[in-house]
Amino acid sequence: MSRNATAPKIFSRLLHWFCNRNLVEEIEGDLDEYYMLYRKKYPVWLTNIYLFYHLVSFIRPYTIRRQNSKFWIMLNNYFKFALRYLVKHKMNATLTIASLSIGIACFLFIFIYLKGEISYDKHFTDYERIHRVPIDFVFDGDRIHDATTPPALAPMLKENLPEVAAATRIFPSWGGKYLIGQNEDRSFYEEGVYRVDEHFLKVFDFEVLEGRPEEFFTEPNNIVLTKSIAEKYFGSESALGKELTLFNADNLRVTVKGVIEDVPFNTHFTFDFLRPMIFSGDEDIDSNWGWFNYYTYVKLNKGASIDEVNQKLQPLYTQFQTIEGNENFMIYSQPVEDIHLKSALKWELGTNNNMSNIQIFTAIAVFILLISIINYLNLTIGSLVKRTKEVGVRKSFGANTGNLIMQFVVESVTIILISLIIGSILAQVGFRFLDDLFGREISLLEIDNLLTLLYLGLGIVTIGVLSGLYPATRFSVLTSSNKGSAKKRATILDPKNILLVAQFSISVIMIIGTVTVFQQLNFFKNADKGFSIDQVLIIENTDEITNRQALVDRLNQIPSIQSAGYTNGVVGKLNWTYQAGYPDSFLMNYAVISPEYLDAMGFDLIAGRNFTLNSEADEGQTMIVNEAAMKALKLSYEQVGQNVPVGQNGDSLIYGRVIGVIKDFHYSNFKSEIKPYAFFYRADRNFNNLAVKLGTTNLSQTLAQIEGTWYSVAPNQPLQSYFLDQTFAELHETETRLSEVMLNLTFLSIFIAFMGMFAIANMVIKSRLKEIAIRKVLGATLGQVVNLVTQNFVIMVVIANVIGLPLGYLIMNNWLEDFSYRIEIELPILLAAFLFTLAIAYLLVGFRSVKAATTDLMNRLRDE
Amino acid sequence: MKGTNLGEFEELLMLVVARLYPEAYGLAIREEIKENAGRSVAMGAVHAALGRLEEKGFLQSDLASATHERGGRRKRLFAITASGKNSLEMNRSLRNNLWDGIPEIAWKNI
Repeated sequence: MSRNATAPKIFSRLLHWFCNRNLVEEIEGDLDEYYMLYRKKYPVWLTNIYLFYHLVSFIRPYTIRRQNSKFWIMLNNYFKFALRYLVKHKMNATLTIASLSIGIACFLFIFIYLKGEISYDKHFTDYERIHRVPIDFVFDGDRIHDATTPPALAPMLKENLPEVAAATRIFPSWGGKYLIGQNEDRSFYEEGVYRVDEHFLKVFDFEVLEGRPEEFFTEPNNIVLTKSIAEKYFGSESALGKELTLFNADNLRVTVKGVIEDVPFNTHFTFDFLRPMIFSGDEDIDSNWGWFNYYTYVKLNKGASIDEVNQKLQPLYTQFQTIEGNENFMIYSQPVEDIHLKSALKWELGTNNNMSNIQIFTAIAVFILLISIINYLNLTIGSLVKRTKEVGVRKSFGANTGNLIMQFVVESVTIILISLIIGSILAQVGFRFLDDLFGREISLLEIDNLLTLLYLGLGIVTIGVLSGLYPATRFSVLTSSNKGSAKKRATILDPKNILLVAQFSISVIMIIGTVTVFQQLNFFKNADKGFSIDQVLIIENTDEITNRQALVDRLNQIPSIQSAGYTNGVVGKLNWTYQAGYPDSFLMNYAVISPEYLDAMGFDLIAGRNFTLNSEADEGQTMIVNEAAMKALKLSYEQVGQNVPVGQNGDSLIYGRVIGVIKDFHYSNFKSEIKPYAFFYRADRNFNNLAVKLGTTNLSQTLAQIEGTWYSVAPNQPLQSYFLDQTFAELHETETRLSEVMLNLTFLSIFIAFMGMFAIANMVIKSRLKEIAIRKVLGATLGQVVNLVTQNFVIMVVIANVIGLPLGYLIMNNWLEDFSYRIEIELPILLAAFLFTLAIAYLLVGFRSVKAATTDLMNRLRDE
Repeated sequence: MKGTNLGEFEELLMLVVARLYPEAYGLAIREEIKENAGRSVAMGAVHAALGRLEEKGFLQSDLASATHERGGRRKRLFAITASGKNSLEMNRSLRNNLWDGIPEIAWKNI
């Protein structure tokens, strides 16, 4: 055989690496012979591949070498040492594992929540090509962000922009409710009914489970259901081709043309029914530029640039739109993935979150993990001082640096794995109990979340390995002879003190954060809104009963009802807008009401008078406005009741009267400023809401009476009602959730931080027990001894506050900037945070040191 | 009664070992199987199965003296034991019995 016919060295090296010594010779011989045999038939590279295949086939449990069995025995031993150490130092072990598990649980919890928030609208195919096109109202330089557009926009964009692959419109039910069912006995009020045009599925590719998509939106009597709604109405039968009736829409019978998958939670809109955008009547929506109540979405062609589209939007809109005065409106686009977190326009389709909340949560997650890891490091490093003796003994029995490293690494990895397991169980339990906090169900067992857990686990184990390396290397320079001198007096600059300060600074920041969020929320809740939402019951769907005045008259006979008034838009929930003002026009919010409505909602009439029931003179351009609208109309209080210009239509002025002025009121959330608002009166309006102000006594009886009255007037209509304060609670839903979560997390982080401090104090005191005893014997008072121990901790807490207070102030000030109506972070809050941390530190450490200074002095002195 | 029965592949191996006697070792056995049965088997699989049969007591092995063509490495030579032979014969007679019991008519309709 020629020399070059031997197998490459790498194979032999591989074999030697994994293979049992006893088997290496025969296997290597076989492989070698194989190579020589086949080298004659095949080219080198192919032979190498074959050889590799056979080599790999030898990797089996019985071939893998266990030659270093000493290693495994020692590992086993280290594991035993670690467990013994944990059992012996129960206190430290419990504190370490508890704080680390809580930290891991919180981190997982927040991280998985955040992942959900970030995933919004990314489930659509090619989501990065889908954009929403909103149009902002612009009046005299005032820009009002608004998500809605006219219905003519989408067809125009599709026609004139080559970049657009498909454009679609959504027309939600705008708070209206449909009574839907197969028959009247089994019917439900449904809110999630969207009207969409035939391009909807081209932009949003919801999976079609039943039916032919091209037929979905062709006939006005078609309806498409989501999967869970199909199950709700038709059970397990196929819904396709079945009929439903819309009972409060002229008993329209519609045919189910398709079933699509449910809208995932991480979509910025949600619906249960889709109906075609085909309206009865002659109105051609495709050329209507005046109605701003449609949402427009476009999907671009592959490779098309949204920047180019953005440049063309404004000229196109100005060119095609037909309404005078609207040509300055600003049109632009938003990537669909940004809507949930970055868009806060008027009339969003759902409750959006915002980036600052996301940032706060991210910060909390990182903070908590940091605090607990610091705790862990502190406790590990802190306990080292006591272990010099142990290490000395080990060394004198022949342990080398490698052995020491392994021992410490095994120990810390054991602790970390235990904490990881407990932490993920805690997180899973948390998900089970707090799912309403997130508004959705989450489980750690989902594939994605398991991956997260894996990454976190790897990250923390790395920290564990590193933290095991640190003590080992420190001890390895120690020779057994000088081990006694490793005991140094701790200074403030000791690493564990620096970590402790960092930990406390974070706690201080979190305290400030929580207090601020809470105060801001309370400010919302208790602030004078300018009207009263307490005990106001809103009865819906009153447009379906024929004799509305009779209902009010009968309700007024119930003694515990103070007043009841109609409106076509409940303040805080829905209102209408039109262009008002002369000479400068602005956007006026308005609602049409009956006179009693002002009473029922507790609006404060500060000038003029209320509408008079059935007075024709009070209809038309007669209005009651808020102070902001007075300012915008440029009216003075002397002009109340007079005929003044209130708007313009082309070149002609519109005259009207302001008969009353009410105090400014907050009708949307406190993030926005108070806008002009007007009330109009129409006697024969189809009001759909009735506001009923209830007395405070005997609520359930009153509600029963209201129900009785309703069914006496409208025997066939189910009573639909809700309390108004719920609506306002919803306006601040995200902040409320934020504050709840923050409160719990802050509590936990402070708990962890103080656990850490207690453990450190415990350690410090233990190492100074003899010193304390000697001092006591020499006549030191209890106070002096306690001071001796506590002063270091007090100094650290003070430093932590010096760092944490300004940082916390800056962060929370930044958060508050989002609100138009906000609190200031005042000195008492900062002072409270400072005193709170100081007091806790003093109590914890003081308590421990008093115990150290009063018990068992003699025994300690007798030792050694 | 795992351990006393021969699997299909195991039986094949034993027969090959017997055929190749006294030169039955890993690679030779693999090549023989490839030639006679047309099955290409990974060398690791052969090695593992041989080890398993030796554990069951059907085969015995010894390291042969070093030869030149393997870079001086010894090969492990396998031979059948008495119980291995027993087991093979049992298999064979079982099969023969079964074959003998098949009525002619069973083959008619195929």
